[in-house]
Amino acid sequence: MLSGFLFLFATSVFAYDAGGYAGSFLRMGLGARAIGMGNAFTAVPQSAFAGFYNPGGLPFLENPQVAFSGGILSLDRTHNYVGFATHLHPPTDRKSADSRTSFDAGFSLGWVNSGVSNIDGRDSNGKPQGSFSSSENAFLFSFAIRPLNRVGIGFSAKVLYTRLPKVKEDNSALSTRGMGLDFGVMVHPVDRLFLGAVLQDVRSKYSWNTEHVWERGTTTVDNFPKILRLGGSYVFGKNFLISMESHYNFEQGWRFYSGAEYSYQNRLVGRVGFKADHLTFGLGINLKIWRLNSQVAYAYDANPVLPWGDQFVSWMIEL
Amino acid sequence: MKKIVFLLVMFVFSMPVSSQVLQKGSWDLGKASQSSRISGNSITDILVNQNAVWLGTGAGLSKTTDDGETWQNFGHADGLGRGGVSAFTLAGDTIWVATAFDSLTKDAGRLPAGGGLSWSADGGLTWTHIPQPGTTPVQNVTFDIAILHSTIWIASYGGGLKKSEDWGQTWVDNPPDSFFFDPLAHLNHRAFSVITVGNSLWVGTAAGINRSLDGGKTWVNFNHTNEEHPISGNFVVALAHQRLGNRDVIWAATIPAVDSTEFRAVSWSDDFGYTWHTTLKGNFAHNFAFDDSVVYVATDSGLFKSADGGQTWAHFPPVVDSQTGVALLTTEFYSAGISDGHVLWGGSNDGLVRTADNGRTWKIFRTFEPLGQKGAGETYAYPNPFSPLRQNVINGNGHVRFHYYLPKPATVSVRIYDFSMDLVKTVVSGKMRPAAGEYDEVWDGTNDAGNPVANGVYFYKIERSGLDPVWGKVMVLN
Repeated sequence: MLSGFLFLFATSVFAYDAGGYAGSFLRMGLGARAIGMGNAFTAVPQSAFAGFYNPGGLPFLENPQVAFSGGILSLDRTHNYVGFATHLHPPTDRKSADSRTSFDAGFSLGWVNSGVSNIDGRDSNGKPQGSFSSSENAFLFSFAIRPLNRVGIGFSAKVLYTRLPKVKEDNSALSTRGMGLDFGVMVHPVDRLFLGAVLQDVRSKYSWNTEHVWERGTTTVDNFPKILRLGGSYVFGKNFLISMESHYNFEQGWRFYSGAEYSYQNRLVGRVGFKADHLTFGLGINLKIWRLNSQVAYAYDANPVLPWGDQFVSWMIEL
Repeated sequence: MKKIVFLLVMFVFSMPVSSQVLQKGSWDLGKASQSSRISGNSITDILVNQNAVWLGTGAGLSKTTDDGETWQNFGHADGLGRGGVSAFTLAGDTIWVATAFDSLTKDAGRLPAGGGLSWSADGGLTWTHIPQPGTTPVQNVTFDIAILHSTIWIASYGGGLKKSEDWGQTWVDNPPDSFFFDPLAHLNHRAFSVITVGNSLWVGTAAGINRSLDGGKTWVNFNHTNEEHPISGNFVVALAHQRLGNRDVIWAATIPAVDSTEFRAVSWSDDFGYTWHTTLKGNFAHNFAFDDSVVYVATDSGLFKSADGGQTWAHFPPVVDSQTGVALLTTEFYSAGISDGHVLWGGSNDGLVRTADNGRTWKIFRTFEPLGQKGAGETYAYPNPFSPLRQNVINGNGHVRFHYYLPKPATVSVRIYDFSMDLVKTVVSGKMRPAAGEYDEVWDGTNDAGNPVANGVYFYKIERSGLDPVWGKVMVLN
């Protein structure tokens, strides 16, 4: 069945429209676990990355989590994340999971940082003008409630900040800020099954003012493309999770993602994913550090376009 | 050089004061550097002297005596002032060159500044440099130089009209009217063009055209409002003289200064300025060239030619190199020149063009930083950062070049990706490059759907058959 889906997804890739829109650093995925599963994470609960992937999943968190993630990327790119996520259960409802009420909630904070260094500055004669770099950031605050026992809905507010050092005429940095919103819902209709839907980057945009860069600088607005993500995940037995989803990018069209995760003796985790048009792989090891459950995860994104695949390392800790 | 053009437009701004001082010095070159390429791709002026074609560029002075096969390039290290060439003039073996550069000021940010003057009396073998005349080099760019007998005249924005009778050792303010020199108070003291015609001196300012028949002692002003058939605009960007039989025709490129009735156009007069005829209305002209009775005009929208004294004009189409198929990525021309054999040279902001057959075939001359040597890397994008709204704009889209080196013939594909490695555009696919060498592929800042890309960093991948691909980065910033 999986191979059938992979074939369907692979053939669909060719209909995907061209890139070149703002905010691509928010569309490559986040964290070794999610990347290892092909970026199919919209309907996966229990994650410190929920604020990024689906804020509707926050009330389903069993324990607070913190997560760190870093990318080992080619072409002088960086992509990092630090985040915290927790449920917010009222004290009277702590006795059992069955007693959860509509007051259940969750929130998370996160910071996505990416950038590119060693950009070879040149004038119109090709003469070297020094090296440039870029830094792109998204600060996320996410909140969700659980109005029904099996439904979580939430949002993520993003503060976007980009900085381009040494670009302005006085050699200082050009920066721009923006705001954006994601809305997410997570549904848990039956045991083992989660369904998720996210509308990503509603009104997300950058406003650039280049009056101190060019002699006749202008103000331009770059809108992030809105993306609708629809997915589902299912746990077979106790150890095997599969996840599938499709993304509709309002500028670029449809894409499909899928992933699977197998846990061996609750100690080692193996992952494989299909990320739009190529495979991803991941490994994880569960560790107890200072009496805290944690997992160190590694993912390899085998994007054939790149000189070598992107690699990600994450550390997720349950508090 | 775009700064200079911009300055022409923005001349009404006030002038801040800076205290930069340039040192006087002398250089003995013996021999200037020989190159297969010109100094810079922005050609501000072209002058022809016998068999030599001289270029003023944004990166120095260039000279060829073999129709562009080889170039002698003169820059700051050779004795020219700092920056690009803003004006130059020739008189036999004597060359006077003015330069300009961007100066960063505390109060007003980046402003153009005069880099001083340099002269050579031996065809460029040795140079003498003179600091920019005036109280400050900032906002004091020299836009034109003329020699009347042994007196050097310079027209500068902040410095006005100045003359030197001792080869630049001392300079005297000589505003083209009876007022004391004050460019803040008098638009007529902001000078942009100066030429000599016989014993007469013609000066274009922000308040019209001034003519002196007595070496600058007394002046007559011709402006947009003081004649029955006036010039088209009071801001006189360029002046040129055409000798036509027994007639002296004065050509003027004008743009509006302050009056709403002024307009961009070319004005010409063959009765010493008393009557002006207007042509090429709506065009921002920068310079002229003459081939006997044929007139060529370099404008923002291309090169124009008239064989009937400006009554009708032919507009040269966008230039494509006939041998390489490479297109000139601009229609903006700053300069023109004619050399022996009716050869037309055009100076654009994207290189030099040459045609010997009235535009049927063209050759494009451009410069670049060479690759293929140790430590030079394998590719770069230029300009970088790249503004699709502003740089190499043709047909509404700007262009950036991806320069790369091929050690052997190969088929080449170039694709652009964003940060997440989504394909943005296939620039070329399977293009045959039949020889080893250096090449450019051009991107217009759009994606495969034809939409302008967002600001940000993009990655380009050059795939070469039989060789490893090479990657580069380009920052798009509008």
